Amino acid sequence: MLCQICNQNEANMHFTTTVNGEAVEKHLCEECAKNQENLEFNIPLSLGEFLGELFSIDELTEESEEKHCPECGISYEEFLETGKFGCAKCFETFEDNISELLKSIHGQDEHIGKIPSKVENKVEYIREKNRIEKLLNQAILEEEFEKAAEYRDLIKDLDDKISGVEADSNKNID
Amino acid sequence: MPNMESLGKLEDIVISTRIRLARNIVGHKMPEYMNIKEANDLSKEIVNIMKMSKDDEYEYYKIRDLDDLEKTCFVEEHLISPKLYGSILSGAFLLSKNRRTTILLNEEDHLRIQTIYKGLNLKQAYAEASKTDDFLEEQLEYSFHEKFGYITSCPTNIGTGLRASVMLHLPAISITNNIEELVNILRKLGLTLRGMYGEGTQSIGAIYQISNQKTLGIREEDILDRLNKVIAQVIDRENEMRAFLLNERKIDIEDKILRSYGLITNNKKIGFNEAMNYLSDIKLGMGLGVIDQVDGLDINKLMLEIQPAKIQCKLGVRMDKRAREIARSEYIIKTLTKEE
Ligand SMILES: [Zn+2]
Ligand SMILES: [Zn+2]
Repeated sequence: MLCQICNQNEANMHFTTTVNGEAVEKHLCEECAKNQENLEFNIPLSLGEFLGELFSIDELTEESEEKHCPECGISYEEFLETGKFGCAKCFETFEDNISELLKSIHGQDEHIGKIPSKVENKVEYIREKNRIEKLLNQAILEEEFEKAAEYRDLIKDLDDKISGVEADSNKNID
Repeated sequence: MPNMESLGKLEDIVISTRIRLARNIVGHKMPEYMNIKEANDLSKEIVNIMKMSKDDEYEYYKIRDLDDLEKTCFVEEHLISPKLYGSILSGAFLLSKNRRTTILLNEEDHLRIQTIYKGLNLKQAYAEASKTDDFLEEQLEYSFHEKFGYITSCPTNIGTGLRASVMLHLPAISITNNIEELVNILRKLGLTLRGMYGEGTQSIGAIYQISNQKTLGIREEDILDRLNKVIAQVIDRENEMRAFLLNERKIDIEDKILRSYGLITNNKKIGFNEAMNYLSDIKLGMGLGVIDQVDGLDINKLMLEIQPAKIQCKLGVRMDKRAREIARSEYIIKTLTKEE
């Protein structure tokens, strides 16, 4: 696929942005994506000056680098202060940090107990997919490409199954 | 000669078993980040679901509708947590008619299912809590992460969301100054020992709670199994210490027990902590055969009833500290000596 802006380079950056409240998919090349980013972070001068007076430049850049949960808005640093997560989305946002934290608390980071019956199938498919992804990486490392192809097919099957059960559960909600 | 057989009695040592499951609902921020309307709407949704339960009838209480005395009584009965007591804006709970199950709403997590049984009953208590959990899960979307399991507000509860605790009376381990040692051993086994009112509380009357610390990377059955095994060991140690006291410190322990009996049956007013310490000695004395059992006397129940708020709820009178101490004294003497 070619970049939607320059129509010349291969589009290897894919993301969704919201335009007038609607999600729009964008497929851009690296260079055009960079320019886009600059545009979106362009703050009007007056506001920039205002912020600059309140915070030092260092604080401003630090703030913008800190990851925030898209759902509840807390950062991992804020979580560390209170010791309480803001919402379930935090666990996807800070998954790596949380894994390390849970290992230090529980010695492990993987749940092996009860699963809500509604999501049992989905969870099993996802766990199987994670397991096969590890095998796939191993196969690629060992240059066993036939095996790797088999694993890819298995993963594709599982992906279909996962989206299948997701669609089913959405039906139930309606 | 005291009856040595009575030493091994489980019900002398284990007071109660408690199971707690922490759960959260998809699409809502954690209670601390929710606005009041959203929190109250979520409570209502859960209340409506529980109305359909065929197993139990539940009564619904909002924290903001209860006065301090009523709330404190629920805390003293361990039916709600001190934390829910303080959730004055949107905290609420459902209490089953048999008072075994409480569903705490908008505490630290959206909901916490708690089941309490008398004596040592981990499997049964868990089965009951899990059944309520299944029932709620049919109607709600729980926050569940493929890797981390049940999502909770605090990382110490994540995974199974299961906290299993057993409340024990450990006077001999306590008198022989072995509690600290027990705390250290339990910590190494991934368990904690706390006082009567849970987290961060002091022990009163040699009553302690032992519970699992680890909630992730271990199956529910294994959490219960491990705790069960450790509790059996703790009971053995308590009995060993009791035998030691009887064999090696006979006069001293009899003296202590008889003094406590004399004091608690001969006073005009008594504070809660003082009363609990004497009652602890009396409970031990009856277990050791140093003092006679009183027919139909339930010391565990008596210990529960003489708490600062509970004594007022029990007698149906609001009292200041001095009036409570007088009422407590009368109530204990009447109960222990079976005088009318
Ligand atoms: Zn381009
Ligand atoms: Zn969040």
